[in-house]
Amino acid sequence: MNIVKQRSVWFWVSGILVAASLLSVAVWGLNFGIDFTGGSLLEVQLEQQPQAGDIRATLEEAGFSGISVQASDSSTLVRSVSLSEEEHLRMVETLSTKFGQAEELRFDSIGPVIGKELQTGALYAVALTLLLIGLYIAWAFRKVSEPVASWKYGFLTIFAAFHDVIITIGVFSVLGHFMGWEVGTTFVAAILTILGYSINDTVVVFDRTRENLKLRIGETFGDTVETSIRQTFTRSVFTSLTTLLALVAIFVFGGETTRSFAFALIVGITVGSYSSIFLASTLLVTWEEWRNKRVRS
Amino acid sequence: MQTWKVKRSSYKKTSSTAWKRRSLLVVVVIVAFFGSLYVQPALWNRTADWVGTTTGQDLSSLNRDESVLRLGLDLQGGTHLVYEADMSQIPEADRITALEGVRDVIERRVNSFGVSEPIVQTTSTGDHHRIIAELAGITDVDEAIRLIGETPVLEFKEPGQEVLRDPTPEEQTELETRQAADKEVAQAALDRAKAGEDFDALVQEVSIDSRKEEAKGLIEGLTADTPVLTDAIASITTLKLQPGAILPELAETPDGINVLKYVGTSEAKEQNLSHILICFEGKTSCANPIPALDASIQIQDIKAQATPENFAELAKQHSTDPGSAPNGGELGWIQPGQNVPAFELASTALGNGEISDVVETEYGYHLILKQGERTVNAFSVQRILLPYTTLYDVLPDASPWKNTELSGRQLQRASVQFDQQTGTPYVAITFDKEGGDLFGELTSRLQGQSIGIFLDGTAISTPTVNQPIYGGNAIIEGGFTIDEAKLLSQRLNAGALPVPVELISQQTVGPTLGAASLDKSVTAGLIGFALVAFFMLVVYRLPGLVATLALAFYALLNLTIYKFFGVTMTLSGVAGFVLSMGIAVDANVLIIERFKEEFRAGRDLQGALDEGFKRAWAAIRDGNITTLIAAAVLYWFSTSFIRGFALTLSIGVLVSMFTAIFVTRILLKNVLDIKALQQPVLFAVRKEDSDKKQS
Repeated sequence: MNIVKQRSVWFWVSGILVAASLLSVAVWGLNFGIDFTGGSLLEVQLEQQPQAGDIRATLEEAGFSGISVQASDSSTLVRSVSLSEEEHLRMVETLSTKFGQAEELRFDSIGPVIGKELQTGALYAVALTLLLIGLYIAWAFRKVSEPVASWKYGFLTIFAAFHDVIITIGVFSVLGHFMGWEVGTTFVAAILTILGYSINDTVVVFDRTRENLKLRIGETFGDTVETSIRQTFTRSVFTSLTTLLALVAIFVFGGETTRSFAFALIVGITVGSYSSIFLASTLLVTWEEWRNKRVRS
Repeated sequence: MQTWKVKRSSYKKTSSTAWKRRSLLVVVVIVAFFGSLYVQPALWNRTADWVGTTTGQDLSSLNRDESVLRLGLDLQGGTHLVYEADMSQIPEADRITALEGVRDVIERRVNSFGVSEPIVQTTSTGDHHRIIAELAGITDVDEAIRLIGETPVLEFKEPGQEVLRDPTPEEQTELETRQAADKEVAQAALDRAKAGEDFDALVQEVSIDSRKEEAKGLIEGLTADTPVLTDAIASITTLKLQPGAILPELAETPDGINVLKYVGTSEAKEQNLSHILICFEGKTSCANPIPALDASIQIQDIKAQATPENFAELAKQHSTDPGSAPNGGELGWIQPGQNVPAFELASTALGNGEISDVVETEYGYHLILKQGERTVNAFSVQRILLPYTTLYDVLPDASPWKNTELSGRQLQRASVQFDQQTGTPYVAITFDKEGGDLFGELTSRLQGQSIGIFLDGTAISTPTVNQPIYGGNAIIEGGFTIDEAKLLSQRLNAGALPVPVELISQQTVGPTLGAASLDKSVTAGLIGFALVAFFMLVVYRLPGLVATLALAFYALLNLTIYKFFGVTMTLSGVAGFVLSMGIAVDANVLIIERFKEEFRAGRDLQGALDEGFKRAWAAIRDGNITTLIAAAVLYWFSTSFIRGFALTLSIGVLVSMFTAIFVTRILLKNVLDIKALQQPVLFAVRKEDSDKKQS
């Protein structure tokens, strides 16, 4: 199997995944958590374990509107619009009067203003990270400008990272629609980490390409890249694997709160590993051949 | 055999630095040993105990606190509160200061709540000024929120001229009608008193005086100069009333209308006094404390040059009493009992025109000049206070009290004290310099009138001012229970919020959920470590084992850093730490893979190792720096919950560059020094590869 020669396959795979992700986001959007939309989330453990419907009815009777209730064996989640401290206390009291001793496990209430700010903050953070990493990569590769200009490594590294992030967002859009997974500030943290980390793999491959270009290995540029990919294949897969192992531990054993965070990282790092092997370098070859053709003609 | 020779030659080449490798290995082991004792104080303590019992010495003083790491509020339970300060009333330039004021007040309130290591911070972005309070380990969040949000406003008011408009004719008529009615009620009480009813019982029954319980309405020490009840006092003399007689006329005071009974007259010696005060460290309400010794030298110096003639001049120059210094130290005519005992004892002993020796009181060192003494009649009366409608009662918007500039802002501290005679609690307050001056000015202006002490807009005490109070001390008596007095003094000490705040976000984690999260995090961390270690051992064998040792060292070093720098562990922080373990071995993977490649290319084990480290460095550096960039951005943009992740990830990445390269290298090199271990199979490089090399 020649990875570089079969690159149209990878382009199709990535193209379809990205398109599907964008489509999913366009159609279903993302299921934003309360830290972005503003709102309240109350998690209580009730002595009697009532049905979600009963809890809902009780709270609506008490004058709370726009609530959604999710009951599991161990605890009950009540989502609503942002509650003031008085309303919060009244809600807990209503529940404990009706269903016996209510132990409050968690209560988050985020005002709508804060939600807006966190949203814009997240966008800025992603943009800034992309910019800084792009600059760094262009700088780190500044010494190799033949035959490929250093900014192209930087651009493609960022491009691959973008690809990883879009697919991760797409996966969460689907999960949000079908499983109710929420996207909040922890998701943004995951995205930024994916940006920083998935670049790691791409850098390893490009680094080797850079080295092999100096040693003049391979007859064509495509051969050089193919050799580089093969030489770095094991380490690219293994570095991602060790990180994925740590993440699987968090996903399985780390508890409810960090589960979706770990999952976002698992998706992002897996896709990142794929894109650095199959996408970034092959795009570099396509770019170079395309340029050469243009120069020759 | 040839292989052996190659190895041998390379070994020789590097043997000069063999001792260096050994000693570095020793350093790593020692660091690991003390690191684990530091991170696990229980281990340290047990070791100390064991050494102690073995050697028979008492080493218990070496025992250390057994807490491991500082836990964030999502792991021990607690709350994260965000308040928005309403700055609409504050000029742009003062907003930052006002916000800091809010933070200080909230900090004090939180501290009084007994939360361990609370965090109170301010953030300002554009028009938003916020306070973030993080209370970890708090049990009663609702109570804390209530306490932080309340706004105790302490105000001092003087009897009201604050009428917002003139009364309409109807209101004027209403006022007169109601005053007539009040007078009738008062007249009825007067008639009953005149008819010989028991006056004490009448006080109990009808008086609205807030102090009637303790004092039964007794007012002592009224002289002809007292600005209140002047006509009534005069009438005692002119009518030659006998003690026990009821005064024939009703008398008005600012707080109402009075029925008076003449109780008796005593002779009081008034003294006309001046003084010079030098206050010093540790004395009550000293604005600029100086050491006691300096104060002593200064006052002795003044004493040496003081004469009755230059006394006023010296007082102006030196006295630290803000109330009397400007007018030459004059205190005016003072009745007995108005000064602190030491001062009074000294002044009474003086003859006219004499200057005392240095007198020490709770305010500092005094020199007293007595300018005169006179005997006056001091009258005592007992009163029944009845309501008397004033304009302020009639006008809907009027308050009978007028604001003064004195408020809780000038308060320095408040404390609960007890009346020595009755044992009733009261709140003693001390003003700062500005407040002391204002209070002195206010009490001298309001002699004989009431002063209103308002808390949150309600009058809690309206004492009558008997004499000016200088020095910045005052008391609030409001018929408190001990608990009420304590609460009031606590609230006053915490101070009032300079601007209103609104709770806009709260994130609370109950202790049960926190404990469960902590449990799960630790499990996830251990399993994460085990998985990574297992993977490395299976895939890379001996170097894998070395990488695992380096990883253990890495984990230890991280925990040491968390503990040493007081990094708060949050749920996301633990996730960052576990993730960073996965990332940390990445560098080892890169190095070992490179090493295998170099080995296959024909180098011996040592040479391949050196080359592997050298060549993998660029990729390790680039990869880690991009992760660091992302973590740094995350740190700046995120709230405290995510910050933990950004922080532990950053620390992890930095530490991993050290352990993966430096520590792994030392370990591997030392391993390669052992001949028995120089087997390619232990390094998971295939036999054919090394055979190929020989050909």
